[in-house]
Amino acid sequence: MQAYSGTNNTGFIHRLDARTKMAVAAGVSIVVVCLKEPLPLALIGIMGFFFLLSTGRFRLMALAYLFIGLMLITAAGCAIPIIKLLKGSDASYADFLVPFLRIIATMNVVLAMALSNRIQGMLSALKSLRLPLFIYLPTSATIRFIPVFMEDVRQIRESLKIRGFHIGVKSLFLHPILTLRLMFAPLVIRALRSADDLGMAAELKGIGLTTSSTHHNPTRLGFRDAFTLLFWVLLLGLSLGIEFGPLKEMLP
Amino acid sequence: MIRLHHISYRYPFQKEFAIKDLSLSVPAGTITLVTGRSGCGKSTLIRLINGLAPHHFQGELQGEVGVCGSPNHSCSVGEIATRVGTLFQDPESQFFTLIVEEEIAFAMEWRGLPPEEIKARIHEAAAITGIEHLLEHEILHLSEGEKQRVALASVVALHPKVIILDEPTANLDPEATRELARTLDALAARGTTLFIVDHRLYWLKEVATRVVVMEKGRIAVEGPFSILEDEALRKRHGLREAHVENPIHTLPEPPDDSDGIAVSGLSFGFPKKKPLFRDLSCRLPSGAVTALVGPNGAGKTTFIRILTGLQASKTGRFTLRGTSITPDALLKESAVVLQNSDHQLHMKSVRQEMETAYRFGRQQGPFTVEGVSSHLGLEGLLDRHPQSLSGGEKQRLVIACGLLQGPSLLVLDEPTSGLDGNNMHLFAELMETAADAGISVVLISHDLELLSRVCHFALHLKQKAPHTVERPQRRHAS
Repeated sequence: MQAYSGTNNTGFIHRLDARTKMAVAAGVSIVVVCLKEPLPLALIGIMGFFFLLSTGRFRLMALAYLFIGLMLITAAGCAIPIIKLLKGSDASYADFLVPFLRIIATMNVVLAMALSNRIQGMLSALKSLRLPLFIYLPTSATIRFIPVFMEDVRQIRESLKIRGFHIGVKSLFLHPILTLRLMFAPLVIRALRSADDLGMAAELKGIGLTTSSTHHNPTRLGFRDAFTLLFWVLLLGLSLGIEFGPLKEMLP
Repeated sequence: MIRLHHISYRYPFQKEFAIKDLSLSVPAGTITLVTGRSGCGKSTLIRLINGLAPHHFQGELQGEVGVCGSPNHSCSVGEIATRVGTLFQDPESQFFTLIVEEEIAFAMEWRGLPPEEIKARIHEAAAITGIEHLLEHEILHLSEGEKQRVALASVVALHPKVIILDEPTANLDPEATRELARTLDALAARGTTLFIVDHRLYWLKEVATRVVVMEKGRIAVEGPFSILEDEALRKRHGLREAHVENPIHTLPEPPDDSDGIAVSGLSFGFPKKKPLFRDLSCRLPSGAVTALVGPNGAGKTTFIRILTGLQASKTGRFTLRGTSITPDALLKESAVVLQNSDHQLHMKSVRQEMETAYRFGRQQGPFTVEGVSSHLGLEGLLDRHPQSLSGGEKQRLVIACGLLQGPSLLVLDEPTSGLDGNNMHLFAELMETAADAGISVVLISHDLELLSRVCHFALHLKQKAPHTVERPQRRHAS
């Protein structure tokens, strides 16, 4: 079961440990906040694009980029006239592009992680981080219930269709409270019940009796993970070097 | 092994005691079956033994509960869990991971057991429950019977002295039920004490050491399994049958000339999976109850989803009373009662739920809100919020809503999984009334007692080469 349901690929990115992809996503997210120049951001964005491309989920990629493109066009409609009007100020087209480059760079690696990680891989990664039980248990339960939640949404939509209720944009505008209640009341009740059941199940399994835990089958990072981490460390270092370090003269 | 001494227990904010002055002693290595009508206190008894009552549910407890010589009131639920394992009715609600091996290991890891011991216990529990071949599988892709065995293995691996099972057969097919009985017998032979609460009785005939029948929070009768042979006793306490013949092989196929819904030339398979149906043709007669039977994975739910347009299919021709109809149009003529009642309750009160079902339905047929609520024992609950009802009451409410839609096709998926004998018979009577009104009633159920009681025909879906199978004789006149 993948974090975002899809095909069962066995490519390079799918064989990476979930911790590697989480580290890449976290690293990119932090570095792009520090960068303000389009060139290093574009460099990360392009490499991230190939990272995402390797998941093989082209349709979803196209949808994500279409969404970003629509945002860009909408923003350009407002920003370009203002930049033209303020000719004497410091505002430039590059400044306008920077937030979008940040979004694209982050989206590429986060989406690549979500589309290629199996939920069990994320659970194993969480376990190997040796977090305390009070953090690990709710986090892992949340992740473990992603596919169950998606199935619940599908079943509720179907049960409404069976009963003759047509839930859509039109009903949301005409009867917003009723529509939200029809959809969310069963979901909330189901979530509360699942939480209660899981809480009882944890108690009945004797979890929390001891403060230490063991791992019967610990996972180790492999050569692929080391290679990927090294590549991204070098790339992020290069980007920071271009903006702040000795490579600054590369900038136009 | 288990000792309850003059126990009375009352839930918070309740006037009535759920358990009243109950004393019970269960010896080690035995299998005890506890049964009784809905609301008699069976679930509370389980909670008292595993410590959830009063530690989790709070409430007022009088008397003493002890397991393996230790009183429960002086231990936490976690400490009691080192001696008592509990298997829930819905195994999925107690899973914390998605892979079988990880799930069995989960509690042991958090109890800090050494990795080598965990590995040994995983293989031991898998061998006892017969799931060695499933250790690397994803839990969500398993059948209900396999999930039940995984949940049992995760309990067995913790080496409890007592295992409590809450309606373990509610979602199991006959073969998985037989397999579970064999596994429980093997566990009892190893010295484990088994305490089972269930409405279905027949499957424990060969293995139960003792039967306890409860009524209004007290033990009404106890003795060997043979006490359940007494029909008067079963009727008095709203119990199900002690023996059930499997009717699946004696029910006839729906006749080719029957009126109702006809399907022909249906081929379907999910992407990258083996085809489920190849050129399937069948009929669902009106005025009759048809059982849709087959092993788990045969495509029973998928067939109904295609028939009602919930699952798109490029093939197949559908007719209703001789007139061609699309699955989307057939959905408007149908009521489908799904297994999970929580998903189907949306309104603020039971009355509103039923009235809405009637208003959005075809407003035809013999059923009225008053009539159905009275027949299904819901008349006293009309002003309650649907989600505040018990599991059995919710199940009856979604069935009532299905009937009130006034459909031409009524499909019910495991409608009686949590119902006692009385409610099962009330449900069967309603199905007969629906059939008498000309509705095509389709039951997807593993409840042999229900199928035997109410079905006229059986439509068999086989796992690899699905088709209808002709059966030798007709059981009931439609």
